[in-house]
Amino acid sequence: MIRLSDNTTSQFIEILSSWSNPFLLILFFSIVILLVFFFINRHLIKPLEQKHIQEKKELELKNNRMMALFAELDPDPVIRIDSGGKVNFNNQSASDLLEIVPGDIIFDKFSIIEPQKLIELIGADSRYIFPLDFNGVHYNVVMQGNSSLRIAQLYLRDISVIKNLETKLKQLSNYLQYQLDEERFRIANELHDGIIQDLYLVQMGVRKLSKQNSIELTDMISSQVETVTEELRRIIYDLKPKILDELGLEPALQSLCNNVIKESGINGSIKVVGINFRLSKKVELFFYRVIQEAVSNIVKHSGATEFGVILTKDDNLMRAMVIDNGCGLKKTEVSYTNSGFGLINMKERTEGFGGVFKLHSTENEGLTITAEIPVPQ
Amino acid sequence: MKEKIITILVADDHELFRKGLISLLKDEETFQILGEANNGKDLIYKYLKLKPDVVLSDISMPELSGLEAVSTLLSTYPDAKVIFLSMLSGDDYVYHCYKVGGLGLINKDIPKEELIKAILAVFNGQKYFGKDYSGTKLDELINEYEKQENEKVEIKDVEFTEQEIEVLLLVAKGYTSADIGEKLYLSKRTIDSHRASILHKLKLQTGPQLLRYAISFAEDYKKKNSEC
Repeated sequence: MIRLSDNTTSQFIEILSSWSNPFLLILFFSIVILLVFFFINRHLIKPLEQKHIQEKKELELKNNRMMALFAELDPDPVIRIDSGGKVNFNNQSASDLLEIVPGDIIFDKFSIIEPQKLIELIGADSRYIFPLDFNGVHYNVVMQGNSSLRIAQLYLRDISVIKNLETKLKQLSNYLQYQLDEERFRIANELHDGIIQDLYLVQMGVRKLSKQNSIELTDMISSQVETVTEELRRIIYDLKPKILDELGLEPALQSLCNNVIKESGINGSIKVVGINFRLSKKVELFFYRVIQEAVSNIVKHSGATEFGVILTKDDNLMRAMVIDNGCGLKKTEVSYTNSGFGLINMKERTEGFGGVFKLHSTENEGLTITAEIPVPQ
Repeated sequence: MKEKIITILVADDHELFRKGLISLLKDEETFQILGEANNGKDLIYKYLKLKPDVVLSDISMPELSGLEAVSTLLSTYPDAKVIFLSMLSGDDYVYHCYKVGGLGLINKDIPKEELIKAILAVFNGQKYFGKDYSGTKLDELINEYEKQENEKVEIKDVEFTEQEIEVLLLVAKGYTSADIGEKLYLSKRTIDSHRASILHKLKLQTGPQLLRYAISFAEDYKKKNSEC
């Protein structure tokens, strides 16, 4: 019994430690697989992971440097402040233009920013835009809060050019208003000095007529009324060239030039090429006004003995050229900023039609003005 | 013998004036108002429908102006007899009304007698442009305007170099010496010397003269090249 038992035990042990024991096999393979995993992890995955983290860090650093570089190279000032208003960072142009250095307190520099507002702005990640004048330069400031970094960034953009244009626009509008008043004054004068006086004469004639009836008197009154009518027609014509409306651009320009030639004694001619149809009223008025202005400048300022007006159309471009042989513009006058409003006005009108306005002048050799606008085929 | 009735179409965008004119003419037994139009397009339409003997047309009207409408009408019906009405008068108006083929122009403030005279004259195929523009005076005016309009710069038989031709064509387009230089890859000074040479060859002196010549030259050049 014992022997049998002994035999069974040794047999059991023998089986247990033999290669045919599946448990032992499983254990063995598990250990091998674990070891393989361990080594793969240690020598392949870990270094790869570390390399990746390293690269990521480098990339972030590079990115930050680039961002800083951008801010640094930005021609407009960029300032970073913390929630207490202390400057953490500023680019070169901020120190050059606004005399700001790190450590400055922003509230001392720009009183428009309030401490409480700044904290709220940072907390809410919101943005505040305000104008700022510094050393005669106009800036538009965008202040952007960032709650995760507890900072706000200020981006300043120089808008002096726009401001100057605004001023110019205001001047131009004042000038237009002034011209309008002048024109009203002129019309009032013409009505007062011409028409009213003539009408007094008519009234006197009519009074006389009520006392004595004579054919001569009737004829005189009739001719006086005719004079008044003629005078009124002239005033109306000056106000709005009805001929432009009724007969079209070429006859209106022809009439304009004929009048100028008659009144000024300057030799002139007009030529229209390729336009034998009516254009839109706007385009006709545009060319009429630009040419009128140019011709009136020639009479007033150029001292020319000859001028020419040419209106051409090729394809979908219409071009007016007004040329004279007068004194031209001085070099200093050629830029629009230094010249009168007349030229600016012509340029603005042309650009309003999507066109191009050009001046070409040589001192003492005359001036050529070209206004070119696109018109539908 | 009973006089022939003259049928009339009145075109004017101002209703009050139109009605006034019609009531004025209604009293005359020799006239019969066939219809009225209030713009240029309406004028053409009514003319085709009614075929009046004489049309009285305002110059300034919406849609088509009187001049445009009559010009269109006459291209199909060259016998249409038209008298224009206008608030304004003067040489320019007379010439341009004549040019589109109108037989008369009368001011809106003329007396009734003159209006009747004008209608009768035009009905009989004569012209009537007011008492200041009768007979020879009218012919002289028309001659003067036509001369001015047809005034052409004579294209002289001058030999130009190829570059000079290019310069002339660009001058005609309104380019300055600097622009032309940029276009032809030459300096402004070279272009200026070309200009001087062209002026010399043409015996011209001034910029306006050169520009005028250049424009006519370009027209001529375009014509010649399209013929080839």
